[in-house]
Amino acid sequence: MSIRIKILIVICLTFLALLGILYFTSQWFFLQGAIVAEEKSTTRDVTRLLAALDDQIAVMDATVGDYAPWDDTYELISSGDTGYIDSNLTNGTFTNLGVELMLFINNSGQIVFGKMVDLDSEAEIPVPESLYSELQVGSRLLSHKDPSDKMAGILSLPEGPMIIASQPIVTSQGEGPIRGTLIMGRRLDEAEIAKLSQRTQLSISAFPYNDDVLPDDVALARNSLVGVKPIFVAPQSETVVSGYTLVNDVYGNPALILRVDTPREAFTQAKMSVRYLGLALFAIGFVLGLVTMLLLERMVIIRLTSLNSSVMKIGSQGTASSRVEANGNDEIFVLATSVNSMLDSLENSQAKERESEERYKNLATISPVGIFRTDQNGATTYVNPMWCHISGLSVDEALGDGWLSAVHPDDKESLTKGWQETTRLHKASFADYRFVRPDGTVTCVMGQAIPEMNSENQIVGYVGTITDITERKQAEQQRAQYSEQLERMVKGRTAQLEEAQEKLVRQEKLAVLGQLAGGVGHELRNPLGIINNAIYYLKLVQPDADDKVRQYHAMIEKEVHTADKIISDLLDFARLKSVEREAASVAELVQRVLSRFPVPPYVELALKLPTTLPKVFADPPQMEQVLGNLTVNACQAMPEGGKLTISARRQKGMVAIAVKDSGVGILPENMAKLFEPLFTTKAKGIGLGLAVSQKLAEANGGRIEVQSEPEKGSIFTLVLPVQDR
Amino acid sequence: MSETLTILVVDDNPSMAKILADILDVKGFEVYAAYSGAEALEILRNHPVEIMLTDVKMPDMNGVTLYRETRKTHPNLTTFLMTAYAADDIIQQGMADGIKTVLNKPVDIDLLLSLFSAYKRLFTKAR
Repeated sequence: MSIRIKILIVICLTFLALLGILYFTSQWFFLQGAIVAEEKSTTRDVTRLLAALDDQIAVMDATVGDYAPWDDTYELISSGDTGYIDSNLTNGTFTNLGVELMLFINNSGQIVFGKMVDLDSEAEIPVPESLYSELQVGSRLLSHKDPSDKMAGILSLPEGPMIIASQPIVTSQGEGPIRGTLIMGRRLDEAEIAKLSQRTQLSISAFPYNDDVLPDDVALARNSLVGVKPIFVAPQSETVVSGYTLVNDVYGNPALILRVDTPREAFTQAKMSVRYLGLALFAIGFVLGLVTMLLLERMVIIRLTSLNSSVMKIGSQGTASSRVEANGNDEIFVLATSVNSMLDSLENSQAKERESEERYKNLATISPVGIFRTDQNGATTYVNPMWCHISGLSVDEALGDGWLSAVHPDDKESLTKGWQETTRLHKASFADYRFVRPDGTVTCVMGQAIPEMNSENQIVGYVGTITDITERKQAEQQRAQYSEQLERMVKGRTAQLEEAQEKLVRQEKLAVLGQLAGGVGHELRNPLGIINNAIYYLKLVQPDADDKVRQYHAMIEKEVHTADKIISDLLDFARLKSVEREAASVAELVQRVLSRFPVPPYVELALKLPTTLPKVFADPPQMEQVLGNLTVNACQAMPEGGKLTISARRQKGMVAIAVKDSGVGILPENMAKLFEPLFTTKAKGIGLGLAVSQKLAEANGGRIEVQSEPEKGSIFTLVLPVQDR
Repeated sequence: MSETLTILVVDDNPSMAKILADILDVKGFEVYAAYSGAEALEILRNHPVEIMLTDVKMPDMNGVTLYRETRKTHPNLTTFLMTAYAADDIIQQGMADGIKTVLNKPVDIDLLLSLFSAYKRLFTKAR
């Protein structure tokens, strides 16, 4: 609904309501005032009528007062003198006096003279029959207590009401005794009422009080007329208002209802005034409304419409550079100014937006990652140059779901599924996948996308990036390889380290042992030396001692020598002699060993030494000691006899010399302790042989390996480096 | 001048010193035995000694230190070292300072006697 219609309706309704209220209140005030005034004037009229009627009665009473206290009348009653009647009571007298009825009644109730004359025609008319019943002896009309006792008023008769007056007949001096009563009267008929109307200038009607067929309004008024001097006013019609009053008869009983009809001038006038007022108000309202509408139209609506169409035009153009026209110095002008300043800020912000858009466009163009945007259904709407570069697709090929064509066949299904899930749940998406470019090269990318929301928090699309991670992937792969390799190396190295540590522990143990052995050896050597020297001295000073003493000397010397040998072994172990390596023939080595440590006759010896064997690079005496040790051990493992096999062969660039016996073998629990110093299973020996052998082998760049099976025999293998030429 | 060789045997082990001294005495050498470096220096102050046979490892002063002490008063004294530790640093220092002979313990008595006999002949000739 336009402002125009709204204002029109509001003005009309307000005006009509005000008009109605004003009209009806003014009507109520005016008419009520008129009615009150009307009632007052009608009451006044009725009072005037009553006064006029009372006046009539008073005149009648005065007329009777002229005749009743008069000696002639007094005489008439007693004598019945007709002369008096003839001279004084002619029909002309009646007319002059305005009296229609005269009755001279004596104290016995006899009418001495009675006559009734019609005043218009001056002709004698009969006295109403019903009047006689009022004139019985003792009736109120005839009973006067004293000469001044008189009565005047209305008398209701069936023939019609009459104004009568009654006075006692006395002398002219007004003295009694009362000889009778003089009654005069006049009919209060229509003519009389008309006269009264004329005299009072009122429209008068009279109705007998006890009439059964009264008009409705009079009957209504009869019920309302109570009290001493009651007056009742009621509008008869639009134009006439009536005042009613009750007139009592001479006995004080209600006799007549008089009605005065008055034209309702004030009322009609008020009514007219109200009508004119209404019309005038309506006219004023109409003019005011019209002027308001015109002003509104001219000063507001037309300008607003024009402003609106300007704004609409600017809106439809989509540019905020135009301005609306602003003139005048009122609210519309302020509005137009506000619109213009709003357009200013809009233009400003549009410019900023364009700048920002330009900036983002530039960023997207030079971005080192691929950027894409999609609509809310996930169909691609934009890709940046880097995206094209990574995927190998053109912009047109990428749009919609064209980009999928370049995705690696193995990734397509999962990627499609993932993307559908993303767009269905409106969540962010992360995926690694591959593009196959037109030239066949495969690019690994890391893709991510997040939903774009508008100000109503609804998804308008997605924006995302793809990053070329091919190199990273390759690097990762390489790194994995490296790390695997490294792990292998670490494992190997750890094993080596463990071995080395084990060796170190062993060596440390050996070193401690060596120190101990050295110390002990030296300390033992001194006393041994002393014993030896002492024997020497004894032999020296007793050259002729007997055999027994010599035997004992020899025994002591032998044991000192054995002890010294043990000490030498200990010292050998404790303090390795310097290694002097040279090329040595294995066969020669073995030969020398066998000559130094001969195999007992109960042991069968077998040699398997190929002639093609290369020479080893080692310290020959030390290797002889080692091999001798192994041979002696082998022989000792076969106390019941057996087979000793010494063989040699090439083994991974080294030479392995195996000393195999068919002896008791070594218990598994002893295998680990085999090379520990002071470990021995023999009754004789201190358990340094294998320890020293291993030490020597290692000092020569070799090692000793052992295999054994209890009850089957053992193989000790000395592995030595080959002389390289 | 005596016909024989005067030898001072020094060893912190009294048995060792005494037995060696006894053997040398039996073999015709003039022998003194000392059981510490200090005792050895005391003997040297009071007696003419040509050869000193001393243990290296002794509690109060070692053989080489003793040798260095004797050099101040007896520059012509010939000193033999006896040791159980062939590769001792002290011995190397001693040899650097002029010690000619180091004998390994246990001492080979025969070798010792032949050595002293040779020195005896040498000194006799020199005299």
